[in-house]
Amino acid sequence: MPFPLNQIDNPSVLEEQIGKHAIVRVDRLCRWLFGPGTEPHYHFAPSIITRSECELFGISGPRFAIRKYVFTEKESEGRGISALFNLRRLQWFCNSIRNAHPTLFQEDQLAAFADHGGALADSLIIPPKRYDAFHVMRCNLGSYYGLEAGSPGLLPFLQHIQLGGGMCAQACIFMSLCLQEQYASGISGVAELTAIANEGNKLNVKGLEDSQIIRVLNSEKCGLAAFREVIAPNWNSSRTRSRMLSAALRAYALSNVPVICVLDLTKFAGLHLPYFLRRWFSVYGKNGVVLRPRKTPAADCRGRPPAKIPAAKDCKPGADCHTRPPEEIPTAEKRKPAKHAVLVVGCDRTGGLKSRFLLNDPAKYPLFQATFRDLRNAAINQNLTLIPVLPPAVKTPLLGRLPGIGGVMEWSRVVQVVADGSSAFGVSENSRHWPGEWSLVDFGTLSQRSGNDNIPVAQCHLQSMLLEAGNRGDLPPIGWYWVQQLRTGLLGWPFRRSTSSQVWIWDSKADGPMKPELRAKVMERVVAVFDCDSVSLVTRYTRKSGKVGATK
Amino acid sequence: MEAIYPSVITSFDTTGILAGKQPIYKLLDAALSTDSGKSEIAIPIELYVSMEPDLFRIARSSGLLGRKRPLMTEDVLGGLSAIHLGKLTKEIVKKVGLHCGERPIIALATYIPEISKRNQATAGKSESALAGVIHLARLLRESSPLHKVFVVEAVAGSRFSTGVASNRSGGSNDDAKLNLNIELDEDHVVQDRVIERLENVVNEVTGVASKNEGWPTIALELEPGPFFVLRDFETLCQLAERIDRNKLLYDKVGFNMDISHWRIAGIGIHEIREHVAVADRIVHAHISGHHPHAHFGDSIPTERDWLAFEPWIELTLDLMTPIMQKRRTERALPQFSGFVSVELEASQHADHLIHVVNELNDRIQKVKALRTQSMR
Repeated sequence: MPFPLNQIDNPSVLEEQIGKHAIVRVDRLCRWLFGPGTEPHYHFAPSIITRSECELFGISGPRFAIRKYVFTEKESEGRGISALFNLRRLQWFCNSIRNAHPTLFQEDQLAAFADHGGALADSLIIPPKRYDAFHVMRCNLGSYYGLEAGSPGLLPFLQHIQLGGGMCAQACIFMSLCLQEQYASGISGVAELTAIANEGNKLNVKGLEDSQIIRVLNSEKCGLAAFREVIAPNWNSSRTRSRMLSAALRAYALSNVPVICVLDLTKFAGLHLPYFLRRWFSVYGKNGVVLRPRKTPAADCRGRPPAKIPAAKDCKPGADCHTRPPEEIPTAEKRKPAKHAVLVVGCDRTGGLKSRFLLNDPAKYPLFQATFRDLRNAAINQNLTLIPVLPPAVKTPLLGRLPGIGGVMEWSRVVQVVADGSSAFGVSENSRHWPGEWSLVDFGTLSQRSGNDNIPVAQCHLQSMLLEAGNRGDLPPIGWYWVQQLRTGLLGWPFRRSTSSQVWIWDSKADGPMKPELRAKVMERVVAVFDCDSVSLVTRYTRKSGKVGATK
Repeated sequence: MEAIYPSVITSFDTTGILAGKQPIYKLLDAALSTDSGKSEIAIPIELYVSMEPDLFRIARSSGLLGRKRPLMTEDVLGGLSAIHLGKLTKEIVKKVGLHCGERPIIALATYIPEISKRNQATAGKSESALAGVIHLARLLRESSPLHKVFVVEAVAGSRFSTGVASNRSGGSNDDAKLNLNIELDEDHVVQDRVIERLENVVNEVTGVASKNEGWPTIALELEPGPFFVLRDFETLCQLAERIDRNKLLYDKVGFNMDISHWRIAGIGIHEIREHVAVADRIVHAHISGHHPHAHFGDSIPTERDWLAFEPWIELTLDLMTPIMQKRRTERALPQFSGFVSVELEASQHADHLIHVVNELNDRIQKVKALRTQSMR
């Protein structure tokens, strides 16, 4: 009889190779995600991340990870796999580095990594039942991890460690590449991403700046399109700006476009707050993860008289107090934000003012829930950085990008709000909620998409409508387009009623200026406008004549 | 008629060949069918000698224990005396016979990226380890005519040059704890070093550089990724040219064509056929399923993979034609082993391996049949 291979039956192997503390942390994560589950299985297994970590230091092992399979009881199917976590063999890895490069690290540095490093290398998760109300992005990489072909889509997750060759930004890029694996020209491990960012033969192993993240994703080795969403200066009210950013973020999430969000870890984790407030006023706390003040590392205490050892409560995390006593840190540095990248991987299906997003935080856990306000509050200097990771063919941002490139939302405002563009299409002004719901659609794969493809419910209706229009020849057969759904209802976005009104199809390959006076140029971006109720074409822009021609 | 055969690399089982007790090999034989029914030939194996439990066992039996774990390949295999190697050969023959039945060992596989390190002490151990494995191959050959160990595989090494790590002292505003700077070697520098290290290995094994009898060929393996010396077509061509120019290595070093690695690195079959210096040095092959653009690990090939593999299988058949063999003999180039090894490292289920070996056998038969048809 055939049998499973490479199982680990002896728990002492786990402790010896991964480390006691790391196992406790992974178990805590599993309980947080899935609750008490069935007995996990452990196997030795290949991992792109542990392999790349060994590659960085030129060591032969441990190339294989220890893979933890988590099972849960499912109502209809019985016992089923819920996640597979490739765990770093942290103890073994640090020992290997110690052997191969005896002078590279100090003993306490390696000991700290072995005990406190993130154990989760490349992992795949089926979101648990409590996320049923959310749209969660997934990838189809299960078969490359030995799962049955046709297994459901899985959410990738990764925790970063600096010894692994990169930090949170590289981990977010890796997760984005996994989610966009159909379009990426290559998926590299964290260390390799650092190499791409650095160019040349010198690697500075640290986090990446926004510009570096964008450069790596746009590079030949990754082959995707990424830019920083910049809101146009004419959105002068901060409330409107927030609404636009939130709408854009939601549009990306519903379109299965991961967005790298750069914010301040201190605020995000609530480390600037007193311990008892963290549960209520931080994203970590609201998700049930409250960080206790860490004890000052032994390295800082060594050789000091007891009176000089800083107390744990004096630590101001996020300002390097984990490695230095607070009195040695200049005040200016204490206030310095701890720049941190998280990945937006989903949002709730209902939307609305308190629309929640799902975030993979490589420093901690996957699937954190946060409202847009939470994200805005954790922004660095009130400036939330959003970097969507798009298929290479998509060039048009939703809001805008530097230098002076207008986004499709800005274009739509020019023709639908600022000017009397709406009436040109037979719909009176202010009869719908602007900017509506946006999604990025590949018309070439519309007919191949099925209910299993993780399409939000709202978009299923849209998909059938677009298919019908495509069959009639009213739409281009292939290519990426921004689809805007404008719904009729009470005045004042974001309230909405279910009756739909119009669908606008926008070209996603073009870059345009931000200047509103160039309305004629903006109209060139409109591919078609449909009336949703009758599923009929209202108007189509005819490139030959250069005019907008109503067909009905 | 030229022929190639499937074989299996033992790295599918991380318990190792010495410590493992897998009856999978009998299942493999039983599953493998031929045109005339069930095969009576035992599937040959390619022995992966760098598996951790095996290293631990070797270290224990040769008195090398007492060192701090982990036991790295270069520490263990580089520290074996001739007596220990003799003992190890006997143990391998015994264990392979016991666990795998009577079956040929056609290759030994290693993973020692440390061989290209700038650090002389580490590199010295790595050289000794590779030399030890070559000795082992020769001893296995001598132990039984069944074990025709054709090749010893080795990665061409890592580009890691130097590193500096210090505690962070402000300036950076991310959550990095260290200032960690790593420098990689320039290609020409590290390639020179690899050639020099391989020369040392050859000299260590032979003592007399011109002797070639009883030699397994050293098969360098390409690993995709920027940190490896041999990582893409450009570096493959560069190394092929260096080996061509080197009198000592000319007839002793070739390439292991790991089809999945070569494909991930973006190498096309037409490039290999056009570049004779590379094609002439292919001495062995590996096969496994893979993601088109990433090295997630070895997976079960899909139907699309198998279709893409057919030209590669055809290439291996071409390497076994009498004309090609004669050409290589005349030019004193190492010959192709005649085997394509299924590589499913740390596989999760025995079924997967059996399925892939069976499928490979069928595909080889299919390509052969198509060639015969076209020749008629």
